[in-house]
Amino acid sequence: MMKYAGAVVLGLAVVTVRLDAQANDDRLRGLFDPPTYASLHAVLDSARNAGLPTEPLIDKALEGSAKHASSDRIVTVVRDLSARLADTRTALGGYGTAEELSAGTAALRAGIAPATLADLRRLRHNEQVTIPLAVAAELVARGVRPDSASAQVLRLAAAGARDVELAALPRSFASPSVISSLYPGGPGFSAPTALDGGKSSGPVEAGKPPKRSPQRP
Amino acid sequence: MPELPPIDPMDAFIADLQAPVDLSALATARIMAAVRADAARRRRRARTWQALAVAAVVVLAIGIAVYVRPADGTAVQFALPVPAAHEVVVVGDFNHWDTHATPLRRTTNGTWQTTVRLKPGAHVYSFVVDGNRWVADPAAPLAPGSDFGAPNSLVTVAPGTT
Amino acid sequence: MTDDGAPGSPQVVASDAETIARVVAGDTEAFSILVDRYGNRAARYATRMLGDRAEAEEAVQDTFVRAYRALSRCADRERFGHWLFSILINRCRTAGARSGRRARTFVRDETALVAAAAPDAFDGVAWREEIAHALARLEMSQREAFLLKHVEQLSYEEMAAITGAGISALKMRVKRATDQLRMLLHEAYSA
Repeated sequence: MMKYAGAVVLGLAVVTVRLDAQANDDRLRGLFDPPTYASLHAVLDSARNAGLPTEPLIDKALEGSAKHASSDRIVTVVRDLSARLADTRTALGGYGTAEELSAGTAALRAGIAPATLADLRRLRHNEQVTIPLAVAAELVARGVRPDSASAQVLRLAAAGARDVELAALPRSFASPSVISSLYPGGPGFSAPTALDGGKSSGPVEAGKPPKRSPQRP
Repeated sequence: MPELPPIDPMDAFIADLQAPVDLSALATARIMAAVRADAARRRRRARTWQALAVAAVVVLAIGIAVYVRPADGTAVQFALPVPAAHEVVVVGDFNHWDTHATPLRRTTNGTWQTTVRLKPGAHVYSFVVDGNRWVADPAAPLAPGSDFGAPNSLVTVAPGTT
Repeated sequence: MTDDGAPGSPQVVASDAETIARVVAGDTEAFSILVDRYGNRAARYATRMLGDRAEAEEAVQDTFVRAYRALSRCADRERFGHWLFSILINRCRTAGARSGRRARTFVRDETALVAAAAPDAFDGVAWREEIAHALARLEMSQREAFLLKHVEQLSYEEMAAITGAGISALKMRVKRATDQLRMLLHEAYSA
């Protein structure tokens, strides 16, 4: 009886997830003309057959639609992303969750070396590498050189740093465009902040000018 | 005058009333058939209620697990200081770039803000002001590559406690 | 109310309470023990009460099925017979109300014919018809009380418990029934 109930629960959970994906797929159908939709669907099918996650691809198409990009451009970008996801997966040892592949693709795109992805995978063989990859990408986006960003992330990962600790790393590197403090909820601009009492944002003091990033590209 | 029976007619009357009557075998068979059918119905009903109870528990568990699950993701506040705007939304991978999904609310000091729960990982997003002006977050790094012209902003969300 | 077991059989007989416990626990077939035990008595009462064999059997069937369904609600399992009879009495009242008028008319006509045919000899058939006729002429609650007292041989206390009527009311009914029957029988003999 319990096994049966468990199977039903699992089945329904799977159905729920599939319904979610189906909903977004239907959105594509509603947003694009039939030839474009057909092209996109072909890319999605290939990705699916290759075992790649389709959600990032669908989201990319939706982004393009929201930004009123041309159909050709959208199909090209989505196809390109599919290839990037495959490359990311290879760098990560041939497997990865949708979140890992998205973060890894961003990291590779930012200039992080594929070897860093492989190293992270090795260092964290039991845990997901989504956060270290996202942090590496963010560090580069904040002006840190890719090799330096890799080194810092790998050093922390090797020391056994948890995701919350790694996520605090970018906070020490101000975005070039920031002109006011990073104090959560303070006057003027604030970066998006996690509302957990600042536990994940590391020590930030109000009123202090932002630290300059230690390395300029 | 007819010959009276040797006993009080009343006694004879009662004696005759007391004569045994056999319930026919057919009636007995009918009784047992009805009783058996009743028992079978009751057993079926009990099984149905049992199955329904199990199903109800399963449905409830699923409901709790899938729909009423405790806070999924970390609360993140998005803010944009554009006092002159009439409408500000945030779009990103987390709401599948739906310009109607996540409107910001204007606070008294002119900053528009909202709070969203994001799953841990890298997220890209952008603000759309007054329906057509795409604005990157001035307080956040830009996401690498801009596929469709307007660049996106990048936020890393770690697994939080809220 | 004692059971009607076969005379001289030395085997251990399960009591009503034990049998009920078995049935309630799921042993449906055990209910046939109760049917065998009380079926004939119920058939006799119903036949006398309703004056019609077919109707009586139907009332008895109905009674036993209802008893089965309500078995878990039988408070005093040692007195299952009484409890069963209270159901039977109700069933007979319902059935009797439906067909009372018909039976009375029919019986009277028959009796009159028979009596006219053989006025001098004691006629068993006529006698049986007289019984039915006399009983049918009684008002239902009187008939009921008379049968319970003189045929089922219950005490007034038992009758009160089963029918829900007061003891003095029951005594009155039995007396009235007896008086009327005597009168009817005397009429029949002096005809």
